[in-house]
Amino acid sequence: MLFNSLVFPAFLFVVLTLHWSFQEARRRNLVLLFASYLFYGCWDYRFLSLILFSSFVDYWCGIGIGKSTSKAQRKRYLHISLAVNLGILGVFKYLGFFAGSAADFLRLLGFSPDWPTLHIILPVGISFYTFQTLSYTIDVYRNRCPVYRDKLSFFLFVAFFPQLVAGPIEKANHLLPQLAAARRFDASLAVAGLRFMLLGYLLKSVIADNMAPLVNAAYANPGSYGSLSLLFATWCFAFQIYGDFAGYSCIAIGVAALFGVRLRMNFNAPYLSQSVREFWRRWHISLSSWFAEYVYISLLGGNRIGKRRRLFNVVATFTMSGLWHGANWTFLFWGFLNGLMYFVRKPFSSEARLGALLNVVVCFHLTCFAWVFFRASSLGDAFMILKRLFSGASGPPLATPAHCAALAGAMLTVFLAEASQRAPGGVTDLDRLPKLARLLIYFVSLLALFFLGSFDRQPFIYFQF
Amino acid sequence: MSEPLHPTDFNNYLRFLMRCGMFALCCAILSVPVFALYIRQLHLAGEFFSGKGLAREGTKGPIQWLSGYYDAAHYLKNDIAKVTRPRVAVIGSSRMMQFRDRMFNRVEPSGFYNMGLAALNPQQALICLDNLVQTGAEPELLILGVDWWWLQTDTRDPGDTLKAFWKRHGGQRPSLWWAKAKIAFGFYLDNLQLLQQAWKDPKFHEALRDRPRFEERSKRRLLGVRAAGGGFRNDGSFRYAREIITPTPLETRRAQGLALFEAGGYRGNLINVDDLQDLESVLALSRKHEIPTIVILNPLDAVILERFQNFPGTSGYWKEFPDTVRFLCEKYRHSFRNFSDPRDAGGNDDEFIDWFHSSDKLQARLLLRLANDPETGELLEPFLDPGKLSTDIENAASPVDLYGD
Repeated sequence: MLFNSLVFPAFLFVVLTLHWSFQEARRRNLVLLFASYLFYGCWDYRFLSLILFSSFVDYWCGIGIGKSTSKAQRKRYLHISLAVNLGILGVFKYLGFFAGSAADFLRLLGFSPDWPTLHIILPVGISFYTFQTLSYTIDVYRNRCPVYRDKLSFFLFVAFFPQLVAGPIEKANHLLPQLAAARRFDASLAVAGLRFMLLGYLLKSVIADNMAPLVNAAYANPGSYGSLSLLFATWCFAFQIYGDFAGYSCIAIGVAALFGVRLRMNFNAPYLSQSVREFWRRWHISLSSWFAEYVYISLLGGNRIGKRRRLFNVVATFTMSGLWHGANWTFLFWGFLNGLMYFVRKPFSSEARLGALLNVVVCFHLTCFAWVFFRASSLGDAFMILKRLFSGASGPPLATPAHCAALAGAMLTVFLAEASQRAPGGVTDLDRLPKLARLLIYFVSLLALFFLGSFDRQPFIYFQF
Repeated sequence: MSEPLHPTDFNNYLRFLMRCGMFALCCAILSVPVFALYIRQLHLAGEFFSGKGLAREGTKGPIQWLSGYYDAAHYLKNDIAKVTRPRVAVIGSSRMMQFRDRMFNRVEPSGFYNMGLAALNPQQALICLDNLVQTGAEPELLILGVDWWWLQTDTRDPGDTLKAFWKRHGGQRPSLWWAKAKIAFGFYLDNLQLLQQAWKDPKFHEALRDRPRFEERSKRRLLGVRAAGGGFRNDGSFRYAREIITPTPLETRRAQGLALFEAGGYRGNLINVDDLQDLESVLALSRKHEIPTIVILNPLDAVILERFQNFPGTSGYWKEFPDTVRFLCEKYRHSFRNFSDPRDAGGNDDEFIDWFHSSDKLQARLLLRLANDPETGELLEPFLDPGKLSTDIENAASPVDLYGD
């Protein structure tokens, strides 16, 4: 079930009504848990067993860590949780990739490995919920989070449907208390939730889905197009992935708000960043902070071990985060590139407006450079695209001038809208406007969604992770 | 956690829903002028006609209707047939679309309706017939075209066998309400898509601006954003706008069909049990209501037919398929004729629109063969004069155009 499917509004309405019709918090959570499993089961019912297994293991490990009397014992439970979660992730997401890559490498050396090609179906959302549950057991181990003994709250923490399949990845300390507590229906939070959902659908259907056909055409056959077309297609992809992912996150935040749950912001106008370092503080915030906390600092030592080691730690962390995105050398290289670009300083002084604007333009193009690897189907294709981009290659136009102008207008609108925000999560700025003005904005937004939205059922990009 | 909460949460939620409802109502009221103007423009372009409306327009003169953004044949043709209550009805896919009212020269034009394109599979054929029967509009003659893909599958789902078993031993005709509801829902969704997309489609603006010129050219009232390129006539047959569309050469048509097949289309060596059950239900229903029925397998390009019949992934099916349909027809005492090879209809590969759609001339030849057959001729005798039809074929405007209109 997609957020932008016809059945989702009906599903949401039924679940919301059932949820708030119960007075007891426990029954509400039961409704949410059942709805979450139903939501996930619509993707593929077979993988419900996987999420249940993961939930059981981490629940039991959390209890075990809490009961343990020695550090060694606590560590053992932590290792079990890590082994199970990363093992599941490894098998379903990376086994085929590593087996295939090893076979390719052996063939290069002259061997002929004869093992079967693995076609393992990737369970939707597995990268998100395994990281979320891992954050719980790690935080319990580090005494940063209490042990949750209530199975219902914990299982709901793992399976909470608004953020189950594509985040935001929530910290246990932030989400679990909200799920465990008795929630009240807060009309202002619900209104904010609807605003987030409207923004999310605009980003997804109007921005992302309208960019998709042009991007798909260019990247499916990059050798046929010239540098200008490929450049434009890459800009479009930058906005497609932003509209897609930020749109999903907004919808997830909005849906959760309707249930009285506040999720963390996952994006903060990332294309207004003046450096790649700043970009990663504004893009997919939940994942960046997960990797920063649990990999960069805890595992690798952060920046406490010297300059050279810091460089290695940053690049390694980004490379691993690239691998998290997908089992392909393109994602690995994309992560690696971002790690290197992390150290690129702002080329212009940001004190003056012009300098700041130029920094934004440079940063945007640096991220686009990396996006080429993210979107291309192979490293070979990515290098070919870059070669054509920089060699001034000629080719047929990707689309009509009117179509390109419309897409460019959409990109500019997103830029300007975000630049005009004065606070993070600018949706709340609307509260400063008179009520009539707000209603008019919502009405125009709904009309824009209807007339400009593409409803050809493009799936959310981050679902493949 | 187990303490009951404040009881006003649900009331607050309901109040919130009411506020949303009020807001939605305000939006709906505010958007009425915009949508009213827009819908009026679409109606001027020939969209948003109901089945009754189209039937009514058909009584005023020659029409050519084709809705812009959806395959409305399922819904609208069923509606039109219920209104026109034809004496002779044709049911099938687009491959049946070329049967014309003029071929049935002993019937007044309003006594014939071609529901071709409304039935792409046996269940849809059942819906078409069921709609006629439920409204007391049983035809005096039914011509049913069965396509090879109707029963073809490359897997046998154990569920298919069980479903068929249940239907057979349950003694009940399958409930069609869900299938009908889906078709109706799809129709309204398509209308929504029309509203959503039309404003940015050059064809819509062209249909508004150039309609008089297009109608002058086609000599028909055009109904629909895309009707200028072709559409359904008053009798439900499909008219390709010869004034703007040139026929595709034979080799190109054939290459297209072969390419589709080589890419993996139309594969399967098994009969789908569930679809077979639906086809049987169609024949049983027409027998139950004593509707004389002629079941035909329409022609397709002979070279492509040969490929289907010889390819290992389809040859088994093609051996079984015609005999399976024949067996069912014999069981329910209906006539069956296999015209898969165009030469069996007295035609050739030049008389196709594309590799699997016959022209009206080829359909006329097929009809003539039926009329001259002792068994089916008896059924057709009240409705057509073979001599007149033969003359029409001889005087055909071109290999792919019988009446030149």
